[in-house]
This record gives sequence, structure tokens and C-alpha cells, in this order.
Amino acid sequence: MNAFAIRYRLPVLLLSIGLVLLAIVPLTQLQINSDLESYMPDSMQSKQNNRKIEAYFSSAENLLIVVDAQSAHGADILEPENLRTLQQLSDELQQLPAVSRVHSVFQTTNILHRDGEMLIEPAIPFIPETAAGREQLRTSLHTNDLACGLVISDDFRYAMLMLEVKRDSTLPDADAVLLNQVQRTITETRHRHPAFDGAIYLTGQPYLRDDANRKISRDILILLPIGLVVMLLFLWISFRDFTSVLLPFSIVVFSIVVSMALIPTMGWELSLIGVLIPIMMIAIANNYGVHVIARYQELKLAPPAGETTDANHSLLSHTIRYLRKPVWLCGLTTIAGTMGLAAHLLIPARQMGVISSLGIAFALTLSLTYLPAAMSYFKIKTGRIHTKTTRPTHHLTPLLQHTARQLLKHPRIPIIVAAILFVLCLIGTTGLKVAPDSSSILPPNHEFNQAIRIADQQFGGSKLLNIMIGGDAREPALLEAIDSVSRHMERHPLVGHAASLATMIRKMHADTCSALPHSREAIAQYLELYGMSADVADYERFVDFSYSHTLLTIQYRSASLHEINSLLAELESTLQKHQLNYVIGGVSLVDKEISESVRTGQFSSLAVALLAILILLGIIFRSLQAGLIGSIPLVVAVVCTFGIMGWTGIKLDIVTALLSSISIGLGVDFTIHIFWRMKHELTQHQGDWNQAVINTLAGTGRGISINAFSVMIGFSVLLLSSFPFIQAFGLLIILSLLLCLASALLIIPVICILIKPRFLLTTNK
Amino acid sequence: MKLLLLLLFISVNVAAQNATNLMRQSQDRTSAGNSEMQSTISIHDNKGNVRVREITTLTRKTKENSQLLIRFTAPAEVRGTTLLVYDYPDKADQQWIYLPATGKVRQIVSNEKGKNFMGSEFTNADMSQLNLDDYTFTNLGRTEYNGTGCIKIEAKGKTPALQNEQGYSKKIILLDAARLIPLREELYDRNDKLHRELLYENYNSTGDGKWVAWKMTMNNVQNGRRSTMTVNRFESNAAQPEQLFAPNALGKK
Repeated sequence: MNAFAIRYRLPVLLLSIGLVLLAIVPLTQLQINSDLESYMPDSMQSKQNNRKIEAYFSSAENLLIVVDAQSAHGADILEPENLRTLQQLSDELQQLPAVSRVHSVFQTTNILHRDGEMLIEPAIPFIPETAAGREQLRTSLHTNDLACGLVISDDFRYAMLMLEVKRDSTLPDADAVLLNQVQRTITETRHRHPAFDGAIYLTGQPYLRDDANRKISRDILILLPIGLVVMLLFLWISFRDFTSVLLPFSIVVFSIVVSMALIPTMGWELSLIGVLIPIMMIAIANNYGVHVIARYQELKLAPPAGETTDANHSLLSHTIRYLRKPVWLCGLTTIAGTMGLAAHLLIPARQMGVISSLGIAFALTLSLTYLPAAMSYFKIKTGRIHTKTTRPTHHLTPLLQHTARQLLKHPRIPIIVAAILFVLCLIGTTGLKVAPDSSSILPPNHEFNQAIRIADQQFGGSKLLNIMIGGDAREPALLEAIDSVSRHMERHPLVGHAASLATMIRKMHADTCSALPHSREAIAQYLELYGMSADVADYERFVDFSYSHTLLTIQYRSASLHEINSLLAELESTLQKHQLNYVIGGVSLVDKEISESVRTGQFSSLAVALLAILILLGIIFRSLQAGLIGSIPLVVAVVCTFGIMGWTGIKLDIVTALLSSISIGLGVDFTIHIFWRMKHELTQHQGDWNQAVINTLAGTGRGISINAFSVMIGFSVLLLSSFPFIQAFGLLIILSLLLCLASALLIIPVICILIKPRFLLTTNK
Repeated sequence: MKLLLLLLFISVNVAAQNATNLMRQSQDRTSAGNSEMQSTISIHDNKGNVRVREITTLTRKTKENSQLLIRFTAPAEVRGTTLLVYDYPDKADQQWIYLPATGKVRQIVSNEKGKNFMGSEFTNADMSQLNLDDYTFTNLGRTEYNGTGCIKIEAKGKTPALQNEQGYSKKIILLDAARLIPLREELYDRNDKLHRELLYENYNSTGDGKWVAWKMTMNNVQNGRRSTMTVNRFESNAAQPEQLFAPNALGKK
């Protein structure tokens, strides 16, 4: 390939650059997608259930607005100015084109039974201006279970507005437009009511998507240049030569362009996870080129027999011949690791597996074709070369030589230390938790999460389950069963509120009897009454047009995955006990299934990555033993990372779940280099294991350390991300790579000394 | 220049007066006074499902208000359910409903005329006549609708509160230029987007210069739903005993 790349250097260069320029065209079509629901396949149970429910009931999403009346003057939402602000906000939001319905205390009714008559009247018929009127209203709201705890908190500090939002998936910026209008309405309302100085918080999926979209763009725009500058600095410190810095750097830029262009080319969109792709390219894409430059500079200083320092093309051929195999092998194992993500349940994780693998393959190919072709045009200076030949006194070398001697003296110590750490981390893995919902996407003090906390503590909860029940809604037995399920579930500690058609009918029937009506006629007539007294939209929240399906909604508080599963089990068993024909759906169920997919997807991608590496190592070194020993650093790194996550409380989520596959793909390179060098040294020193270990650590040990640190530096820019889970990923991948490096430098040599594997005694070809 | 502005002002004012007068005449021609009507309301959702209600409507005019008594005659399970509405020009409506299954009369208090009437696409506001003083009318000129010469009039609620209450920001009304009866109305939401369109068909004369549309169709262009009210029998100047329109008499046949 080297001869080919140098012989046809101009076409190779033109083809490489042409391909990158071509990639710019689809790159302009790149769309951002932060919709978590779309991250799961359509075959997912909760998605299918939601589609079934949407066939009968509105598919509107909710945007929640929490108004906090806390101010210097007190915290009473019933103060006239607070109520006027709330009323105006409610009225103005109702006028927004994308809002189909606002549910606030001003849309809430009060069903009263007085003097043998039933009055259905607004929960707040007028805004009281006097203290006495306010107290009268407070009493009325306290006893109105359609308002208290649902749209007004029990302590009258908070009010909630629930906006039903028409979701238009054809408009790519629908969320941005909606949020812009909502924020503007809030600002204008505040402007018109300067006396109101409480706080207003927003939460809900449209808000999450909009904010995440902004943060994805911000991350790409900020992290990418910072990452590139950091990598430039790293390359400059390593080579101190303009050409030697620029050429591997150009491979990084080309790989980013091509891999990002592959996203729209494949018909995909940039997900929350996709932010990692360009940073991965920064961290990984220069790996192979750096080896080529370093080896070339090494050969230039000490040319092989029969070559001169001016024989540029010939030195390049030697360089490529020497590096072709290990570079390809390292590239392939990294690709195999990242391809493990293709087995993930989350669609963006699969896409990332494919995209990053193709990106790495592209970088690898460029390093062995475009790079020598370009190098053949330039005079590469020797600069500062971090190799054994040129810098024998490099500060890492004595340290590694000392480490090697200590390992030979006390080979069991690193094994014992690693075993203790491993056991501690194994215990830590039992504390590893999966993020139960999307709240971990944004920082805990973000208003999105503050509103969730208020909804959980002061209202019925921030999460909603929709249970669609089939059957004639006018049948008393069916309504009785729904009411029974609803009352049973309201006793569950997580459940704040359950509402159904039965709730409304019971309330309307309350003057006659505390039970539900027993005749079909009575229910049908109450339905007519409800239809006349309430909004059609309000009425059709609970029963479909043809009365063949009813909807039971259960509002509950945020909880762990285990608690949500226990709530669902309780719900299903109650529904089954009443022999109801039901379908359970809701955004929170999608959230829950995503979390479960994160857990199961984590194991499947980990298993695939480990198996692929085991097989590849086995093939490369023609020994199963090589596969098994080579997997040890990876297993140690993965278990320790998960253990540390368990101990520190970092949860497994859609991003941290990608850790193991990526760290395996990168970490295995260190082991390959160690094995490769050990074989070489054992051949050179006639099977002297001790000398082989010293030389390997002093030589290759330094190379892989520099390589590992360059990758870590690349990933370190993730610590500047706007997303806490991407920051956590950055931290954990650095930790994981450090563990892989430590295992490769300390455990692999010790195992080699202790068991002297036979595959290392065969000669390198 | 001043003269031009004066002429412009006068012509705009005359046009507004003209439009208001036209609307007043139109109301006179379509207001049947005391009447009794049997009709069928078909409510179609956007998936092809239909809900049918048969009702008898009695109307009675008093000095204070218009009174409307609606009694369900079909389907069987809601037969006898009766709604009584007192529609006041200057204050909130009063509504009572009688459910035969419980034998009780219930009062409904609501200021919102924009609410759907019996779950249909018609609203309570559509069921009562416009209070002309609450609107600004503009004559938008002549046009043709289904081969009939029409006058196009815009009706706009004078205050945002009224627009909110009625559930629309403005109406574009096509009046038959010869008979001055509405043939079509377009109702726009607060964002000035077309929300619903009301078609009046099968006009019959009551013999005293009044006209009654025997078929009214309301299309909701935003949600794809449609409701039709078809008159099966109409009797104008029907004697309406006052006691029939008393809330406590609703349960009595």
C-alpha cells in the first residue's frame, strides 16, 4: 500500500481531499434530534401502546408551568395580583397557535351540590379583592379536589398550568417556536404585572427537547474548537515541527467532516449521544498518523542499513512497512470495540457505533495512504521525537524502567492490589443505578428539574401514566371497575392522583349517592351533562367519541426504576383482577423503557465488544490464551469503572452506557502493543523474559502512555459540556483508559512473567 | 386635503352604519320569536364516527331574555334529558339541566359562550343571536356565493374579553343580497386563523317574512370535525306557556 500511496501520491491526495470536500455537502443537511422517544425502535412496547392510545385519545404533549408566589411580600397565590398574573398567563397561553388547551385553576370547574341543585361553576368565579373574599376562596379551593393538589398546591404557594401542545413533527423547529412564544408570553405577562415578583418554572418534553437542542449545538460549537486547539497543542509539544503537526491534525479534521457527514448521508440525525462523535475523532483519529510521523522521524535520525537520511520515499516505505500491521490491528480492534455499540437497543447508540467505526476506519486508511503521500512532498524535520532511539533520557523512560524492575522483584504485588481493587469495585457495581428518566439530561438545578421537584412535592407528581380501557363507557360495571382501580392506585405511596370518567361521574352524582350510578341511562345522561357543562376537550380526555374506550390517568412522583416497576406491577395486577381490557402508555413509560434498554443494551454491547476483542486477539496472536490474557485489562477497567460509578452514585444513562464498548476498543490497543513488543524482545533476547519486560515497558510503555494521554486529553474537553451526563462520560472514559493503561503496563507484564505464555515465544512476522 | 379626509371619514362611518343596519335587518328576518322545532343533530368526528341526537327546541322571547328549552327525544338512554337556557343580553346566561335518570334539576353556571353546544362543533354562542352593540361591523363589499349575489360583512367583538368569551376573534358573514339572510359564516380564532365555517341551507319562509334555515352545517377546519343540525318540523309563533320555562318545571311532562 505504501508503494502504491507514494507512487500515485497526487491521485491519492486529490481523492482524499475530494472525498472530504464532497462530504461537506451532506454535512450542511445535518439535523439535530433530541427527542428521546425517537431513540427507541418502533417495536418498543411503550411506543406501540402509545400509538394504540393515540388512535382514540389526543396525542398532545404536556408542557408544565409552575408559578411560585414566594416573594418579599409573602407566598400566597391567592393575592389579587398573583391571581391576575396567573389568569392573564393562562388566557394568553391559550391563544398560542401550538397550544391546544391550557389547564389551570382558571379552567378548572367546581361541582357543588346546594339546595338540591348541582352547580358546575368555575373554580375561581372572580378574583377576590378583600381578605375575607380570599379566605372564602381558599376554603372553596381546599374542598375542590379538581383544583387542590392538581392546579393549586395545598399550601397555596404554587400554581400549575398544564399546556397541551399540538405536536407537529413536520416542523423541525416546532419546539423552539413554541418555547419562544411561551417565554415571550411569560415576559409580557410579567411586564404587565410588575407587582408579581414570584418565580416561573417550565418543564416537559417540548422544553427538554428545545433546551437539549440548544445545548447540542452549543457543545458542538464550543467543544469542537477547544478540542482541536488542545490536540494541536499536544501535537506541537510532541513534534515541534509544523508539517508533523499539520498532517496528523488534517486527518483529525477530515475524519470529523466525513463521520459527521455520514450521519445525514445515512438518513440519520445528530442525537444527544452524537456530540461524542467529533470528540472521539479528535481523541482517536490522530493515533495512527502520530505513529507514522514518529517512526519516520526515528528512521530519519537512524536510517536502516543501506539508506540515507535524504532518501525520503525509501524511508517512508520503511516506515509504512514497519507500522502497517500493528496500526491496522490497533485500528481493527478499536473498530471492533466501538462496533459493539451496534448491538445496543438504543438507536443513536447503534448509529454511533457505525459512524465512529467508519470514521476510525477512514482515519486509519488516511494514515496509511494520504499521510505518506503528503509526507512525500515535504521535508519532515526530526523535531522533538519521543522515542527510545532519539530520547533515551526522556523522563518517562527511567520511571518505566524502574517500574519494570520493581515488577520483576515483586510480581505478586500488582496482582494483589488489582485483585483488592477489583473486589472493592465488584462490590461497588451492586450499587450501580440506572437513571430512571430524562431528568438527568439537564443539571439538577436547572429550572426543568426544579419544576419537576415542585410537581413531585407539591402536586400529584411530575409523571403520568395513561391506561386506556376498552368497553362501553356507559356500562355501570365497567365504570365501577375503573373507579375501584383508581381508588386502589391512589393508595400507592408514589401516586398523587388518579382521574377517570368515573371520577367525574361520581362527583356529579355525589348529591344523590356516594356510589356511582347503577343504570346505563344515568351514566349516559351524566355524559350529556358533562358535555354541556365542560369543554369538549376536557370531556374527551377521559372518554372517546364513540364511548368505546375510556382513559384512566395516574399522576405519580419521580422514583427509581425499581419503584416504578413495582408501581406498574401493582397496577397491572389490579387491572387484571378486575378483568379489564387495558393498554398502559404515557411518556413516563417510554422513559422507563429507555432506562431499561440502557441497562440491557449496556450488557449486550459489552458482551459483543469483549467477544470481538477476544476473537481478534486470538486470531492476531493465533492463540486463545492471548485473547484471554489480553481481555484481563479490559475486564478490570470495565468492572472498576462500573464499581466507581456505583460508589460515587454516577448513574448509568444513555451516554455513560456507551463507556465500556468505547474504552474496550481503545484500551485493547495498549495490550496489543505490549504483546507485540514482548514477542519482539523475546526473539531479540533469546527468551529472556525479564529483559523483555524491561525493554517493553521502557520502549513501548512510553509510546502507549503518550498515546493514552493524547486520547485522554482529547476526551477531557467533554468535561466542558453543558450536559452533566456527557461530563460524567468524559471523566469516566479518562478513568477507564487510565485503568486500561495501568493494567497493560502493570498486570500484563506480571502475568507474562508468571505464566510465560507460549504465544509470545513465536516470532513476529 | 381636509375635505378628502372628511369625505373618507364620512364614507367609513356610513359603511359601518350600513353594515350594522344590514345585520339588524338580517336578524329581524331570521329571528322566529316564539317557536317550536324538532331537529336532528349529527356530530361527526374526524375518523368517520357519528353521534346522533334528536331534540325538540322551544323558544320564548321575554323583555329580559330569550328562553330556550331543549328536550332530548333520542337516543332512548338520554330521552327526557332537558336543558333550559336563559340568554340575557347584558349578563351571563343561566342554564339548568334535568336528568330523568336521577329526577333532579341541576344548575350550570358558565360565562363561556364559546363552549361547545352538546358536544358538537356549534357553540353556545352560535345558538343565540349576536348582541349587535357588542360588535363592530364592516361592509367588505359584494361577492358571489354558489351563484347568489352576497354582501360580505365582517363582525368583530369590540373587546378582547368578549372575543375570548365568544370563542372567536371575528366572523365573516355572507348575506344573501336579496333576502338579507346569512348563507355562510367564517369564524376565526384569536390568531386570525380560520377555525370553523357555518353553512346555512334549505331556507324556508315562515310566512311572516321570516326565514329559517332547515339545515346548518358547522365544519371545524382545524380538527376536521363536522356537525349538522337538520330541522324536521318547525312551528313559528307557537304558544309557549311561561310555566314550561320554569327551572322547577323541567321534570314535569
